[in-house]
Amino acid sequence: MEHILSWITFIPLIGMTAIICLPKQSVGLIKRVSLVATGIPLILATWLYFQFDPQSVAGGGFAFEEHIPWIKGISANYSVGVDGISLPLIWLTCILLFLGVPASFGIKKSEKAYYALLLLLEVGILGVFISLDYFLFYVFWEIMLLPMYFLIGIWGGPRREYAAIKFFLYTLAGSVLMLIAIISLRLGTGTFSIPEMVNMAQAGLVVGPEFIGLDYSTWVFWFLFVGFAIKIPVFPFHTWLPDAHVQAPTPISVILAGILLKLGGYGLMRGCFPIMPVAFQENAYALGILGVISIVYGSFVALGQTDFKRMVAYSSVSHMGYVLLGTGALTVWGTDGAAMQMFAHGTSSAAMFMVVGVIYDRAHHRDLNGFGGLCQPMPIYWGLTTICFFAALGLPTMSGFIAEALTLLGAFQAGDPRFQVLVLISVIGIVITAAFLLWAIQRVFFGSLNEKYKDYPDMTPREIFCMAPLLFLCLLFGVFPHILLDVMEPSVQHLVTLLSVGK
Amino acid sequence: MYFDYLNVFLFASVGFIFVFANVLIGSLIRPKRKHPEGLEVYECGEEAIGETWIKFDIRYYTVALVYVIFAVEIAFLFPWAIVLTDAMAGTGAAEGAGIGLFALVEGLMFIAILFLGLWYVWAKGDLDWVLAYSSKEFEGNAPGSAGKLGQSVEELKAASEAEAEESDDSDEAA
Amino acid sequence: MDAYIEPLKALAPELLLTAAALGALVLDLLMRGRDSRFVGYFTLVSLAIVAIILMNRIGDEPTAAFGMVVVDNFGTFFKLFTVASLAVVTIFVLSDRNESHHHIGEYYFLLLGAAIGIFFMVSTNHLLLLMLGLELLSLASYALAGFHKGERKSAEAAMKYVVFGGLSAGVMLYGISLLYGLTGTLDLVEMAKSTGEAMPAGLAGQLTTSAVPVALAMVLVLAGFAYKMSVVPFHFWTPDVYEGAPTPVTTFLAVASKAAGVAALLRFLGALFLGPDVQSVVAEYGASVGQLLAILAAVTMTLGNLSAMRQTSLKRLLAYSSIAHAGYILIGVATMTGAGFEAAMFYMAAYYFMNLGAFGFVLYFEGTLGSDSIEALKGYGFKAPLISIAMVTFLVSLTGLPPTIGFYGKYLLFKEGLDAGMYWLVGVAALNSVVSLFYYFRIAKMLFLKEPASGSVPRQPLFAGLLAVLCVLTIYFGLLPDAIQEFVRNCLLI
Repeated sequence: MEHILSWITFIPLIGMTAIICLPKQSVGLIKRVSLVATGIPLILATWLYFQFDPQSVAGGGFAFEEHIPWIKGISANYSVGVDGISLPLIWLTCILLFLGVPASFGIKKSEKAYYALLLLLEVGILGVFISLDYFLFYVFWEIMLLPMYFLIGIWGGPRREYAAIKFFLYTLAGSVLMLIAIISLRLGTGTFSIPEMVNMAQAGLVVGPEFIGLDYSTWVFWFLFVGFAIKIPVFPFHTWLPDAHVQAPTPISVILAGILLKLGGYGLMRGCFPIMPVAFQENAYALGILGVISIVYGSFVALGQTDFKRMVAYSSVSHMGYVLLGTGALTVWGTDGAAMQMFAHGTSSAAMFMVVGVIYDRAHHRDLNGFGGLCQPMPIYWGLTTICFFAALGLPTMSGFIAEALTLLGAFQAGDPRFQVLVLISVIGIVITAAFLLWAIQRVFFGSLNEKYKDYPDMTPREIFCMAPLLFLCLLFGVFPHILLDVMEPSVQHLVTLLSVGK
Repeated sequence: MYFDYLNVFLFASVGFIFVFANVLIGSLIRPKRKHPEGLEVYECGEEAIGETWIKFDIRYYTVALVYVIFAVEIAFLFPWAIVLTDAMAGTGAAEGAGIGLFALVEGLMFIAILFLGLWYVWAKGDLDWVLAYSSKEFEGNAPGSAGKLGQSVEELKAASEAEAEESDDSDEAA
Repeated sequence: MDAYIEPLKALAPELLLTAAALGALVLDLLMRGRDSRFVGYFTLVSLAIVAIILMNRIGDEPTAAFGMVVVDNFGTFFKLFTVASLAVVTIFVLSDRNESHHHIGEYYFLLLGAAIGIFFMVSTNHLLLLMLGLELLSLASYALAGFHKGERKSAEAAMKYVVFGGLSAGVMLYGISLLYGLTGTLDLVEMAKSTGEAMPAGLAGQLTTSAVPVALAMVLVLAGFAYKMSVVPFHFWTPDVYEGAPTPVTTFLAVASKAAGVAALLRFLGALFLGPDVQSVVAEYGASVGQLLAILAAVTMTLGNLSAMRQTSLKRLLAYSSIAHAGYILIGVATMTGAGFEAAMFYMAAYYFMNLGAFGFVLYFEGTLGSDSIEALKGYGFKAPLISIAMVTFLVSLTGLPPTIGFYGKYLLFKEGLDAGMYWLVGVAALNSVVSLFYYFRIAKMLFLKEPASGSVPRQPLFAGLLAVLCVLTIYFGLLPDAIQEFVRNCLLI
């Protein structure tokens, strides 16, 4: 299959065009087209996942590459490819977007625009994961924002306008810093190609002028870092996240938590750390601290929430902190854990938002203290929620456990006693996470049944269909983590070598 | 280097001093007698009535503008006409330039364009002293009331409204 | 005789345009103003002919005519730009629902007259002809701004424009006279070349002996350009005039007239400081003029963006946004390099698509709802989806987000700014992009995020089609900007 990555990325665009051409009234047809347009990339991505030979990219390099000259005036190319870090995320994207379509069947307002924007969003996300050219990367990165703005803004909750523009402004503020850094890198290296930049960085050739009193590598590193950190989101750039999550409709929260946050972590691993390895090493401990603050702070704030969705949103802040801690430790295990955590959190947090969506569709509120005893009318829901929460809190046999264990082991192993302290502190986060998740289960499912809720129907087959595959993946990678780790390992090892240059 | 500007400076200063010195001297030596008449705009002749800020009719300006255009035409055409003989014959200053026919055609085009302007002004009614208002606000006005000398647009409007009211009243009375 | 006919060929587009303007007037008089649309169609046809002539000129060697006019690719680029924007403006006039379309033949005459002014402005190195072109453009613009005589706002706009325009023309003329007094020539190339042996000395000589008058002259002349481009602090007329003038005229002022200002500024700076035979002292002086422009750029974009945030009228908002964009363009100018000028010209081209589109939307919306307040836009996106989606595209482009031409333009400007070492300026510009997102997306919010009020929108399929074409081009050239960039590069041979 030639151009398979382009096909995966642009099939949703074809689907979007088709939807735009359909009449507004034929909602059924629009939904079917969306299913097909997200289903084909999923099949292709699954095929790709098992076709991919991890050893082929062991020493760097990429698989399924395509290089086409694009804008000659600035020698930007359409060059795409995947390695062990991006491929699982591409697969995850395809899964979540495909599940996002049936999860959206409850939406009854301007369906045509909704599905068109959803497909455009998929194009943007997949484009970021496959780009090997920084200009292309940036274009896809920004294309993503617009559909997200409208998806939150049109179909969101009561404060949707505020949440949508806040999300947009935060991300754009990060992106313009990124843009300055990218242009500066282009001027310094004479190329947009990320692999070439990385190679030059290994040779210490990425040099340039200082800015606001910082030397070149430091300011470029921090500009890029802030751009990506806002997306992750790392404390103190996280304040857009609760608003966006709470106001977004369920399927969009799922995609936001499942994939958009991963873009930040992925961006750091692809476009920030390897290009500025020296600055990374200098600031690794600071990154570790930021990661731990996110872990502990996120879990404490989540503990204090009464809004179900807000709680889940803050749990994302906490979980994404591991990504930073793991990479900052600069060990193979730690980075493995970080990459794995991105995938694990992608499935478990997506499932958690679906859990919230199910109850919100019935009760039309999300107040944790307002529920109670729901295990009686809704047993299936109770069961699936419990599995999902256990996955999130890192119970053994769940993928979250493998990821967190690897991260903490890796960080402990770092040989830097300061990191061991960080690991000890972050354990507090794990305990608190378990606490707020279990407490939430208690408040929602146990206790006396609220009379209002006794007639609630259990989960419909559609809802089960949306959630079950995610939980299956959590279990699968918890029991057989090597399916995922084998794919990631060689690339992660190469990344660690790149980052350890001169050490 | 600033020496070149010295004479400019001198010229300007002398000018200023001359004006202000005369005003100053005048104020010192003139007799100071204060009468109400002394504060009038014109001390002799007609008594001044009303404000000095009165509205001039816009038509004065239209005609003045048209006049200026044709005055400038004269200023351009006069020198052109003087040298045209030489230019056509290729003698005098225009010897060997071969500009004759070109200059003639150019001058004629200049006049033609100006006449186009005159035609335009004429056709649009800007040369009519008594204007026939055709815009919406004045539709339905009695023909006699439009365009009285010295009336502003507001006055015209007010007048026409007053008339309309009067006619309404008379209808009711009948 | 041939000696006089030959240069006229070089002036063919200008002469044709003049003939078209007079023809429009005669046509209107012959029709007795019954249906002025016919004059509009005539204007479109003649613009097409002029455009074809200009297209055939691209790539020709520069020629001179009558000692003052220079016909080169740089000028041709901006002439084409003017013709292209005038064509769209003409279509705007034709589809303006607030216009009576009777007795308005002079509308087209004035538009063509303004275009003639621009044509001369962009094709000369001689300050006198530049000034004349500028004045012709201004006179026509004053009349156009006050075209709706009965409306108070329109009359006010014209009045303010005349007062400001007169003042800045005087200021500029004074600057030019100083330059003439110092160097003894009005030709920019001569001025920059001359070594300064004779008296009056060339610019190079005067820079060492009388730096203060030269600086004064520079500032005064630049003020004239800044006024046309609406750069702070010469921007005060912009919001009022843009708001009061009929929308097609506003479009013309925002796009063509501003481009003329940019063109004249680029020509002035290029011929004076970047030419091949320029004295080294003069070229160095250019760098400090660039620093001054950089400061103006930063102030302009910041003030424009901050003022735009509080606007309630869509036209005023776009007026302030156009001030901000003048600031962005100045980044490219301030670098004082060929590449920087290229970026500025590319941004002008980008500005063409997105601003024509945005003002087209304003016109459509004004014509259907009879108001230009942002509040009135509520839910408009559900009633007129096609043009609202197009508007969002223009807004995205104005903010400078991919995949639109506005992003690529901004990218080039930032790149040249960084390349010239103006990191602080690019930083300010980047922050301004974020600020601008806030107010541009207030419009998007009104369009799509609010529930629509009842009532339907009358349709203008052809006009909507034009906006859709502009929208598609905004994206197309955003993804594949090579064609325009190459075109700009070919045209920039200063």
